Amino acid sequence: MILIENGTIYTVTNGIIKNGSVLIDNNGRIKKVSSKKIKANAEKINAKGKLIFPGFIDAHTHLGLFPLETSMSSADGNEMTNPSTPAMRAIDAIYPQDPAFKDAISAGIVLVFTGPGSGNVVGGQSVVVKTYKNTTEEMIVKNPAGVKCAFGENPKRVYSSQKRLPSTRMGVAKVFRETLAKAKEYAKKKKGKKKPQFDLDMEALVPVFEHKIPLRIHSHRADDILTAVRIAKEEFGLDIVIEHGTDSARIREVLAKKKVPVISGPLLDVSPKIETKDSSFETPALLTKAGVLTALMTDHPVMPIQYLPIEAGLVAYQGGAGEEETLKMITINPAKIMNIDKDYGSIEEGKVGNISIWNGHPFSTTAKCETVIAEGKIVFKR
Amino acid sequence: MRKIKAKKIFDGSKILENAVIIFDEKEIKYIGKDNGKETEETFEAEFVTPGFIDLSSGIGLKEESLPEVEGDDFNEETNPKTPELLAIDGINPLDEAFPKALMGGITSTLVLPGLSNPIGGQGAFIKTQGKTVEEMLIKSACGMRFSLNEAPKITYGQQKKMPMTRMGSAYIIRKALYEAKGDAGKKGKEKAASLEKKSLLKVLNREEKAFFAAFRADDIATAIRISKEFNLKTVITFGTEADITMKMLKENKIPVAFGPVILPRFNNELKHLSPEVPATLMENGIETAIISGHPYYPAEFLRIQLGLIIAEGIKPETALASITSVPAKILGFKNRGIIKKGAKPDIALFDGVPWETKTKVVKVFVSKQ
Repeated sequence: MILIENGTIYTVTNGIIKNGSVLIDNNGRIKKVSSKKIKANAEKINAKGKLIFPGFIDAHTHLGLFPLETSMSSADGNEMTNPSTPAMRAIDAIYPQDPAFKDAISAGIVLVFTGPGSGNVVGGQSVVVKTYKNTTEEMIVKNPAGVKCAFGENPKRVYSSQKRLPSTRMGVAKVFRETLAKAKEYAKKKKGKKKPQFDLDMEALVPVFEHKIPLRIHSHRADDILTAVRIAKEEFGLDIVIEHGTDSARIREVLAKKKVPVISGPLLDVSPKIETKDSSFETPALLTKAGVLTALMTDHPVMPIQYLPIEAGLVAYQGGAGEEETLKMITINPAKIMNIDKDYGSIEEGKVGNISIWNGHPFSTTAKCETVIAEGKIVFKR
Repeated sequence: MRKIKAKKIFDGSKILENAVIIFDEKEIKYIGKDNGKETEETFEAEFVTPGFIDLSSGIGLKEESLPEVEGDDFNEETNPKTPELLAIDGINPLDEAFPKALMGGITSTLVLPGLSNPIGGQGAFIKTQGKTVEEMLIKSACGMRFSLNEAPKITYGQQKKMPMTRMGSAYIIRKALYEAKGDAGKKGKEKAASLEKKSLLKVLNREEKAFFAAFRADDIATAIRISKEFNLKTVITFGTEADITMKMLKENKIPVAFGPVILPRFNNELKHLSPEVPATLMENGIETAIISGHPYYPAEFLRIQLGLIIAEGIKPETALASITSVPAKILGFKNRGIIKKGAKPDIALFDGVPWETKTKVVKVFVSKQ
């Protein structure tokens, strides 16, 4: 058991508790959160003057798939040999010794969503992993957690350079629609008496048609976002999440009405292409105010993972989303989007004991994360 | 005449409390306690600094949102030795990154060609405001880009051309300098020298500084070795492992333009990158400027990187100097990067400490030449 005492607790879902205590039991779950002293026979951490947060979650990264400090031969994020590869599994490529996992922990980030890049229209199966374990098997929290898809410039660039389809947005939509049509048929047959012939790629999309996981659709331009909504949501009735969504604020009312969440970012970088031209720290604030469920991403390695809290700080203060709403974008909101909010994303009794302790507000450039606790065990100490 | 009243003014070396600055478009007239002098306009701010100077960026050469041929004039990857190239010929003043950089408090920047060529070309020191390069220009040429790292190897190795190794990169630089030097002092020859040699002569004559892009300690050491051979005035840019070569840097009085601090360690050369490195350099008296390295990190948020260094125990004054007075001094400008009587009125106003995410840039003044 671990008892954290005397700190300011940012519960995320139940406000801020000053001089509070958090008790984590031997099963690694939060047993009690209180503004009063808790009596327990536990390892004590005095957090006087410190700030206590739930473990942070980066909702969109490529951790382990593009390892740091190495060369292109270690890059395993894009299987750019076929524009539709739903059966690619992130877990087969994740390098648990990617130094970026340690960077993540040093900033209190205990869970990340990671998966294939945006080279293919249908890229493959992404996963939610813990950042503090040594093997992929131990790291998995949810697998698969979504199927990565990509619209717009990236798949166009990849395949037009190979003189193959898709080299236009129409081509991208065709590949997407064709894959989904085939998968719909496959999933339907699986439920019926006459089972279909086994197809590894189609198997990957069955959980999407069973509404167990969403399509995670990379799209920047408003028209691409709306193409994703039109095909995936309206034609096929699937759950989708918009990734990046540079122009999502322009159509925020539509996204709010259709209950499409957006994972915004990366924002602390130089806009690399036409599609990202209007990238703005104000986007998350505009989305949230319109009622769109919004999370943030570093898109690591595009932005270094450990600077997620600083990116959030800029969203909060420069972009106008405010501290409270922005904190949700790296805790409870990604947990909700990934459907793991029963266990993660806030400091609440019964949830997994993932906690980071800071010497200042994590949104400040001068604050440092001092201790990280995951599942009730200290996994990082400065 | 304008007046700025501020709770705190960083003048380039120290912080003054409750002071004022009086200035016109051309120069700063006064800094100190409010002497009650009336001016046409008065501005108020929490924190005031000299306009920031970004000592190494590719702003305007590699344009925001334009990745392909249309906006990329960073690297002339057709010849590993291109000292005759001028950054001013590639800069697009309408790059959207300029107004952003300005609103981030940056009033001037040294634009240097990219890293692909061991000898990349001549930089330009420009203001971040203006519709033409001529309007923006403070000094061209300003500095020569040399590159000792994996970029030239990757670029030319793939073309099966030299340099394919670090030895090749050093050879290209050394040979070009020897050839240019051979023409030095010989009257007729110097006049008739090629554009390439003339460009390098300015570096050999110590009129222009040599900006060596190096990350690894051994590459920094090679840069120092070549600099000593030819008696160059050298600045190390990027400098990821500069702390390892600290003794050599100190002995040879070589400054470091370190950064970007916020950068994914996407190759092995960046393995050592951490805010601790510039902090160590500063603590040990190495003249250290912090750079954005734009477009690797957005120039607009150069100031945010200082917070990470302050968190390592560096005094705010030292951190602020690294993007104001230190880069000005490295470039040899006595009236820039500082706020004093007679200095250029490049001034940035903030509603809090400049290195925080919370702080907004309230106003920026850029000198009219």
